[in-house]
Formats: sequence, C-alpha cells, structure tokens
Amino acid sequence: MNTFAKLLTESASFASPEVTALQDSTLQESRQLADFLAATERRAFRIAQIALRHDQDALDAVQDAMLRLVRRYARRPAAEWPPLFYRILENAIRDMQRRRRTRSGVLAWLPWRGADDEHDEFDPVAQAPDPAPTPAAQVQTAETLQALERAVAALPARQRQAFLLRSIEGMDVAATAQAMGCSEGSVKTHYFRALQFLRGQLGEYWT
Amino acid sequence: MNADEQRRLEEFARHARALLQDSVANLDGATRSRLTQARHAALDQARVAAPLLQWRRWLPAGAVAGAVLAVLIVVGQQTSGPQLQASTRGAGDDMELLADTDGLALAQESELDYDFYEWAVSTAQQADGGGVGS
Repeated sequence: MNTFAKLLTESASFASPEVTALQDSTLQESRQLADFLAATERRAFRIAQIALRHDQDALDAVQDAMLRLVRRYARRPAAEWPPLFYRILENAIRDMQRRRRTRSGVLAWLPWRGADDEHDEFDPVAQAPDPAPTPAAQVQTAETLQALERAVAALPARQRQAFLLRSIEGMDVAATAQAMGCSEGSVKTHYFRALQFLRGQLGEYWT
Repeated sequence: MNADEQRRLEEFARHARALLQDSVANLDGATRSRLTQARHAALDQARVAAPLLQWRRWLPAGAVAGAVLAVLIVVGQQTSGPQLQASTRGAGDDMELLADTDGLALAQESELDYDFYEWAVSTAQQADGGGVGS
C-alpha cells in the first residue's frame, strides 16, 4: 500500500507542471465566472421579474440562464459573458412566456380551471410583514415602481429588452446591441419608443 | 421632437433608471438567498463538467497519437510479414515432430533386431559408395 501511495505521489509530481497549470486556469475561470454571476444575478432577476411578473418564474429563468452560461460558455473570454448571459436570459424569458400562453390556452378549455396551483404554496417569508417602516414617500415610490413594472411588462419584447438592459443593467447602446443581437440603430429606436410609451402610461405617477 | 420634449424624455429615463436600480439594491433577503443558491448550483455544474473539459482538451492529441500508432502497426506488419510466416512455419514443424509418436514407439520396442538394422545401413552405405565410384 505504501508503495502504491509512493507511486501515486511520484506520478503526480511527474505530471505536476502541466496539470497544475490546467487546474490553476480552470480555478481562475471558475472564480471569474462566480464573480460575474454574483455581480449580475440581482439585476438579471429584476429584469426577468419585470418581464414575467412572477417571482418563481423569474428565479427559474435566471437559474436556467446561469446553468446554460456555465455549461456552454464558461471557456469563452469573460468580456463575452454579459451579452451571452442576457441573450440566454431573454430566450429563457420568452420560453416561459410562450409556455404560459400555451398553458393558459389549454386551461381555458378545462371545466375545473380556476385553482392556480402555482399560488397554492404558502411561502412564510413572502407573506411575512416587512419590518421596515413604510412612510408615505416609500409607499408612493413603491406604487410608482409597480406602475412602471406593469407598463414595462406591457411593452413589445424588443422594446422591453432594450429598456431594461439600458436602465437596469446600465449597458450602453453598443453592449445592448450585442446582447440583443441587432444593430445599434435598432437599439436606439426600440429604446426611444419604449420611453415614449412608458412616459405616456406613467404621466400621473411622474409628477 | 423638439428640445423640450427631448429634455422631458431624458428626465423620465433618468428617473426610471434610478427607481429600477434602487429596486435592485433593495431586493429582499429571501430572494437574494435563492439567487445565491441558484448561482452555487450552476457553478457546481461547472466543477462537475471541468474534468470532462480537461479530458476534451487532450482529445485532438489523443486522436493524433492513435492514428500514428495505427499507422505504425500496419507498416510494422507489412515489413515483418515474411519473417513472421517463416517462424510460424518452423514452429509448425516443431509441433509436428513433437506430436509424432512413431519414432518413440519404435525406440521403445524391446525386441528390435539391432543387428538387422546395422547390416541394412552398412549395405546401403556400400551401395552408395559404389554408385559414386562407378
């Protein structure tokens, strides 16, 4: 057994330069990826949440996007991750919206519809009262935010994507175009139309 | 669009952006925790996939090495073919001799007439010698 252990150690030390370099690069990539996801996940969640208007679906979409990015694009340069990630996320969002439309279309034909099983589960954390005080200003801000979210969710998909990537993720026109897979001119058009629509919808909240 | 309208639109965009970014910063603890779990789950997948990716890195080199080995085997078979056949044939003869039990049975017979065999051999040798001399 000792001889076997010694052989193992010797073989490990023999292969160490290349193997160690490989392990180091993998570890570094993994760390970079972890940092990227940690820095992005909240904004990604809000983008998905506003688009889907459903917390659990938004979480699922973000997790799905994370998994796909890690599985398929972990070895791409880190600079390529943001546009790739948001493109994957947008695809996940649209898949969910499509599934939801199909499901509601099917459910509309069922006689026992009405019991929405997704809302049956009691989530004590979600139901717990917010411990922070809610002064009038905070209430007004919350109402404005809700109105904004509703209006954004009503936007056409491309306008919504352009508006949220620019507003929440803080991407410039070029990065947004890369994430959306379109030209910068298209991004400007989508963003401008989104702003016009939202301002028209939110006039009463914005004074 | 006039300048005033442009200014209002920019102001609206600034306000909306501030509102949305505040909402990101103020995400509740439960959601943050679930996002962290989702991130860890995704990264665990990466750790599981990493050895596979390392293996895949060596795939082209392995394929080249395999091809070279195959070529060497084929070329080696072609150059050493006749020698192999000769040695194989020799081994076959040896096996035939070993398997031949007639000689052994003959030698083991106790009542052999050795005088007869000696006479037969010497007669044959004389006949050969005469043949050559004549």
